[in-house]
Amino acid sequence: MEKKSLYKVIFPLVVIAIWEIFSIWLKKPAILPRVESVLIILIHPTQKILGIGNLLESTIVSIVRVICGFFLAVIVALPLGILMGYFKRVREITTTLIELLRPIPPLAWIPLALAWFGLKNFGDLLGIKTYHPILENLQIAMIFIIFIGAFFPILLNTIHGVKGVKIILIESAISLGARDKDILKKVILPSASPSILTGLRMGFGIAWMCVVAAEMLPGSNYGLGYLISHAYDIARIDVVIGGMIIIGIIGVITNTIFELFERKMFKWRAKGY
Amino acid sequence: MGYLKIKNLEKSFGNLRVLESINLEIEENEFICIVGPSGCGKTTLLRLIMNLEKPDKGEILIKERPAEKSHSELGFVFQELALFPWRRAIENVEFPLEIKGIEKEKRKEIAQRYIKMVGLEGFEKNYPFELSGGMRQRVALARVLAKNPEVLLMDEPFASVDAQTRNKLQQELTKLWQITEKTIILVTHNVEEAVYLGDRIVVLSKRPSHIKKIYPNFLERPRNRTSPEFVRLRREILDAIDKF
Repeated sequence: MEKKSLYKVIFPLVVIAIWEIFSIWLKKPAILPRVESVLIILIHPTQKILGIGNLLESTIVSIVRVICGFFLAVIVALPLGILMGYFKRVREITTTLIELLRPIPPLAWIPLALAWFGLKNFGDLLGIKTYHPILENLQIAMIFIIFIGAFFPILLNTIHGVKGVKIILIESAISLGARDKDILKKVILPSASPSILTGLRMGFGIAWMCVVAAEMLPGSNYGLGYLISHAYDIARIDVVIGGMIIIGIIGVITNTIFELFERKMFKWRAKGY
Repeated sequence: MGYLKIKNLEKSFGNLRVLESINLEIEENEFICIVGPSGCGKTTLLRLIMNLEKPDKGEILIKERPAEKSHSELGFVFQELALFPWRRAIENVEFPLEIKGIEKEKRKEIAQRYIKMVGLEGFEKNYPFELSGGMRQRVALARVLAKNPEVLLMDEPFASVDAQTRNKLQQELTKLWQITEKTIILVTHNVEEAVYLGDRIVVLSKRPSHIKKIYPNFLERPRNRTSPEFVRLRREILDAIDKF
């Protein structure tokens, strides 16, 4: 193994060792379970855990929720961000409201989301009466919270990216015969794309945090957030920690995917450009 | 009868009067160089011709048609780096062809021809950040040639390259001009460059600028920068600019 990658794993291993020592010394699995018991949870992801679902299903449900909320946020924030970045007037009209809403943490929207949408899910919204395993678990209030969480980073980074397009590139495109739609497609979007992708990455990260919090809401019946909060109720701290580790791992995986994508897509970027 | 006519052109930015009563007639296939003290509105004049700015007064005609309707006859080479950094050299050259809706294969072929014309074979796949200043301006030149305009407007195109590269690019531009039979209007603050390149050298006054004098340049090409005639013309123009 390379020295650098060795450094990367050594500290987590030390922390795990300390955890193990403490848990042996403490002898209270309801406060700090042994490392092995958490590992058992992790390597048996399909095992039912006391009527609150299993780890694999919970993870899938959470991911589907995040993807839904995230895509809704992209659909709204991306065009809005482009308009706000490009047209000063649009920016002037919208900026006060955006600035006012932006500092409100997504979780502060929870009571309002519950008041508006209750426990309704997307199945109800679409008028589907029969049981549908996916739609049934897409509670509108939860998707709304995820949407709010992902919305602002995407919006602000898109505005930033579009505003930062160099005038000379637009003029150069015009002088080469480009029309408005060419300028949008061939100049503004590619030029703003690194910033937009940063927004997507940040938005996805926050969406992932929001889903876990939203799943601790009343009316939730599935998902990683539900799993860990109810595992606590039945004093299964091994499940709590196992769930937390999965949340962390998925965060790392998605972040890495975004970073790989950025590196591949933005080879053209160099210092000073 | 002039090919490109500038009549009574005036332009202000707020209270700043930049150009006043510019009158100029340019022949087809002519190479015009515009020099003048810095900040005199040379760039503004080019931008007005390209329709990147609107004049307050006056008009610009190309073949008796208003210049803003002859957009496709005009090409612009910017002073600063104006390449699309996310496009490889050849993709930059393809840009105007894409806009025209030319299909991919044909586009590649045409772009490759212009890449060759500016001597960039072997660098087609490079991104702008991987190219030297001189090479970037070659790409910019190939890109504007790919649009195939009749008139090239060049705004200090060689200002940011070293002296040696600049001389080389001037030589090559002369050749390109002779091959392609474009009409070129080139703005520069470098009088030697103007004398090396131009059929006529237009000297602008300080702001608000008008045309101070036009020097015809009958020196034979390729021009020798150290010949007495070259040096004399250069000195004469420099003195004229200094007097303002």
